[in-house]
Amino acid sequence: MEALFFFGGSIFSLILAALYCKIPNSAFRIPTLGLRLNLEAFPLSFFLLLTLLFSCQKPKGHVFIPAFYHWQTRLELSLQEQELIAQLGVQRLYVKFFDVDWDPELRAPVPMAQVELAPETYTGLELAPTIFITNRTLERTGPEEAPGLADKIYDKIFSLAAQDSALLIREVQVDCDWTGSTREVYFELLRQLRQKLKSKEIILSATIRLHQARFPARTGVPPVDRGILMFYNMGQLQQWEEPNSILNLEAAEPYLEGYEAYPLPLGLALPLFRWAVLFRDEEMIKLINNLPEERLANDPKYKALNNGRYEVLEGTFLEGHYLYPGDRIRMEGVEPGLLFAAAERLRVLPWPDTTELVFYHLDSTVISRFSTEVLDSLCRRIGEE
Amino acid sequence: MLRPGLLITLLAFLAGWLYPTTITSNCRTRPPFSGYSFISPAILNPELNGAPFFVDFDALERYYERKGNPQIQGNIEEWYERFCEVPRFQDIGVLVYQASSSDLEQLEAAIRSPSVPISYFLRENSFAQYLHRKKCVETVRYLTFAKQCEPFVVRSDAWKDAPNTARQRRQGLIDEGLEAFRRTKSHYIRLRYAYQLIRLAHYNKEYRQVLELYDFLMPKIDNDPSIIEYWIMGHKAGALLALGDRVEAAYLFSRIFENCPSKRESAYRSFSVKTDEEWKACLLRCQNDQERATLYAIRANNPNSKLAVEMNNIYSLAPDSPYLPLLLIQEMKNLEKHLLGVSFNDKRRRNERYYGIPSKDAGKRVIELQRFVSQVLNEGLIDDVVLWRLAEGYLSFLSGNYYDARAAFNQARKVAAKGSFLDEQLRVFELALQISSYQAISDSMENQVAYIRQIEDLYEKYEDFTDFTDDKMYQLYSQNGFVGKAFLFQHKVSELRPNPQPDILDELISVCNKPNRTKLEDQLVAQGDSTFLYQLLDMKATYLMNNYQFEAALETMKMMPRVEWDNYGLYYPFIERINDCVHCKGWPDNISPLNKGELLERLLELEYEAKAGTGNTAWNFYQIGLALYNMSYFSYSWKAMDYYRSGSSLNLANLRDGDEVIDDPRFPYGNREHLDCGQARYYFERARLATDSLNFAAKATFMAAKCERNEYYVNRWREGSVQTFENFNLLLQTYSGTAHFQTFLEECKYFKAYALRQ
Repeated sequence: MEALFFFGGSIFSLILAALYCKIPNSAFRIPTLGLRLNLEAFPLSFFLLLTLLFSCQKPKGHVFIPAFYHWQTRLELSLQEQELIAQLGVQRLYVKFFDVDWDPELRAPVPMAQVELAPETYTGLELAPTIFITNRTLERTGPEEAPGLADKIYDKIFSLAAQDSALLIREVQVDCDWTGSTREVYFELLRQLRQKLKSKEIILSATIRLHQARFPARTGVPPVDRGILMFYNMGQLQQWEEPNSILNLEAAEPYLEGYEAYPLPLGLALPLFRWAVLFRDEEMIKLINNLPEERLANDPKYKALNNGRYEVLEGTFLEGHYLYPGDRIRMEGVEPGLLFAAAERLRVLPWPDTTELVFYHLDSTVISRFSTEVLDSLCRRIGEE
Repeated sequence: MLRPGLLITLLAFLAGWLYPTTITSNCRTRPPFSGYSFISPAILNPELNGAPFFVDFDALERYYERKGNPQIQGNIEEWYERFCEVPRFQDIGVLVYQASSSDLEQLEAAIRSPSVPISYFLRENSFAQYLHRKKCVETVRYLTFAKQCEPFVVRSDAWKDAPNTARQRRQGLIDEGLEAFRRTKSHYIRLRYAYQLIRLAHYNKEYRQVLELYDFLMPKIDNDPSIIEYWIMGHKAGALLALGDRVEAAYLFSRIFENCPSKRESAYRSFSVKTDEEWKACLLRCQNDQERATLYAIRANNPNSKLAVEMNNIYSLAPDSPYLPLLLIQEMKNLEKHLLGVSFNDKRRRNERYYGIPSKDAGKRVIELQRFVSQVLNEGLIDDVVLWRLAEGYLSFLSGNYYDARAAFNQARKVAAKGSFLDEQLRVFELALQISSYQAISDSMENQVAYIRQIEDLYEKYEDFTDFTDDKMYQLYSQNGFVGKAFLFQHKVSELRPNPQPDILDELISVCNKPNRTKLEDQLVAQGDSTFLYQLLDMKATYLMNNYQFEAALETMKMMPRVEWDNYGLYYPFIERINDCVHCKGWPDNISPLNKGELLERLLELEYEAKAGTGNTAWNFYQIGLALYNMSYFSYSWKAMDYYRSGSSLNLANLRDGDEVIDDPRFPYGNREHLDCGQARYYFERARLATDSLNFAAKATFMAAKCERNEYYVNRWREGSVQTFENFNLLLQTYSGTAHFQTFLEECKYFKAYALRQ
């Protein structure tokens, strides 16, 4: 059956290829997903993509289309990153355009870490501008100020998007870990932003944390078109004994048990990142992003404990942070096995028929740690019925 | 047809039910940290290098709130000094920061031509007048140039795009400025031009140009030392950092940190060392140990740094480093937060839960710091011995070693100058130690504490002494069984009213009646003031009434003069009501209500007559039952036996422990409700059995039925609880022919519904 479907997909690709030859300089759009494929830009990889896309699908189960978050301030994909994206059939990048944080000096929200775009490195990809809003910004913003902030965010998105004249935006995403105290202003902000984006036929999505997805009645459902369930950062980060706060299926289980379909269409985000959690005097004091374990394993200033844990033997600088003897470090990250276990547990959840699997996040280290096959298999596995 | 009032009520209920209020309260807000502090910020001279910067950021903020923006402040101070402190300080600020370009251009014209006046805005400005009088054309021109630069070297609105022309305009200003620099004779004004040009290049992100301008301009300036040099150095360091010369950049930032208060904070934030190699190179780049000590001081200022380690590093390089006392105070303040009064702090659990304080390592840290302080004192290389002696004593106090603390404070007293601030700080530490040391209760201890609370000026001046003393005394009295006095150190006596505690009341009544009270006891019971005593007696009587000890309650009331009784409420619980109503006035106008004492006398009289058989026994029993029922939670005279009633007390969750006490964060012992109707039911049943009148028996049975219903409500949480209708059945079976039966059927819907079901 699978082979038959693969065959069908390939035939369909060929038909589209024929169409492509007839209509040069055209753009193809998959309406249900809001995807726009620039055929001219990716002539070869386009067909490869279609083959992959359709080979990912099964007659039963769900279709998970791979995508990535991009969380750096400069969107300039390396050749390897471009290759990974092409091989995986990724069509959309959720690109963090800027953060909105509270400036205590100005006593106002300000955009931080604004993105610089290098369009020649991501030709043919659709970008979904993603805005991260800190909770402290919302804590200091009244609901009556939400429309003004929405206007500023809206204008900023398009002023940054102007760096790429070919950029066509179909979706904007807002990321914020709202709480009971910030929900009102956050939802108002989303309502305003959604209203403005609607006039340009752009949909608004929001990130949804696991507890928010599990208890929508209690935490509220953001007024957006769709959500992305962020399936990471779920353990007890502050506890030294925590096995892996990035992805801890045991900690997630109470939220998955009895999980019912969320009131919004949901996509899924899985982690690919890693970090080191630094403890001093039994207190978690710092996260050091993207630290490879070899950096500690091969240095006599660190003593390996067990399960990716280390103790500092001698005062030393690590990635700009001074460590004292006695400090302890827990390495955290995800291996393919753990991602597959997560996929296995998640695939039985009530997903939409077609949705996205967004990997957090794309950077140069991802390529060395995760092969195209692994990411592609994850996409298939999670969609299996 | 619904009545309008009922309709409105129904609609309001529906609206509330359909659109529940959004919960917007900040559920995650944690309560504030609650501890004590006796280290005054004044222990350090705030003008010391980095004093407010190091001690804590709150202090830093307060310091700068007072002083204004550090760069503006530094700039005005610099102009003030350069112009021999002649112009007024504020006038310099107005001219530099508020005057417009045209004001300055007019000032230049006025200098050149006597016929041109100074602009209206600057006419009374002493700085403008000075520049005019001394014909300081170069200064005014420079200020005009700086005014032109200003819009291009300040933070722009990040929501808006930077104008495309800004870059070219900055470059244009650099060219103009270079020309002006060449024309300028004053080396001081040249230095300021150099700063503007280098800053413009930095804002243009032309880092190489920054360095080129630095190398080109600085050798051409021969000025006296100025903070402007450090401002320029900051831009050079920033450019070096951007170009990858991290070691030199870090070194320069450390120099700015040490020498330029107005740029200290930004230098600290820009200082960056990534590797051990960079750190070593930076140490090598330093000219002397004092400079090296500054590197460790910067590292010490990182959040979560180990101050004792860094202090050791600094001390080994420069024992006289000004950073040492700063770091010492900073660490003492940290440890004080973790350890001071931790054994008696009544908010300790909350601090642990929300702040992780005291941390597990606080004990280890205090020992480590004590060791270091001893080493410093033993080696005798420091100048400020008093401060270190004070630290020695206070750290011993914090670690619980009171003997050593006293010894160190005695040593400190020998060297502290009388009347100095350190002398005051010493007395504060000693006072805290004295209060903390009390282990047993005695008259002399109580008199001492009373003296401290009333007379000691430091007790007033250092506001944490109040909480510190109260918490300590609460612990001491509680441990020694003096629950009454302990209570008054944490609560107001009125907080006892929702659930009066007999042991507390007895102790406090006894203190009030004591002929030779200590001074502290006097303070606690308001010098035995009669109003204070009477409210205790009223509470005690209420408590006894709650437990149906009417004779004891009356005797308690009699401990106050009879004329005072009316001050504690009037009641009349003898009115019959078919339907309960807790907020209705209990009596008609033609009835004289009774005070609590009179009510008790009446109840005892009824009881006596009923037992003696001298009156209408059934009626007497019924009256007692009626009063008890009406004084319960369920009826209008509830205030006779309680002070506080909550409608939510009958919620299942509140009933479950069966003790009639509902937790309430406002009241230390919760809120006790008088839910019991068992005694009232007993009297109604006795009334029914004692009467020959079927009609009267019907009335008593109906009231007993109400008690029976309430008993079920109160106990419905118990497993297997089933509602019984013994008295309703009795009414139906035995008294259905009576007039009262018909009345109950008509007026009590609850009974009517039951009767119809049968």
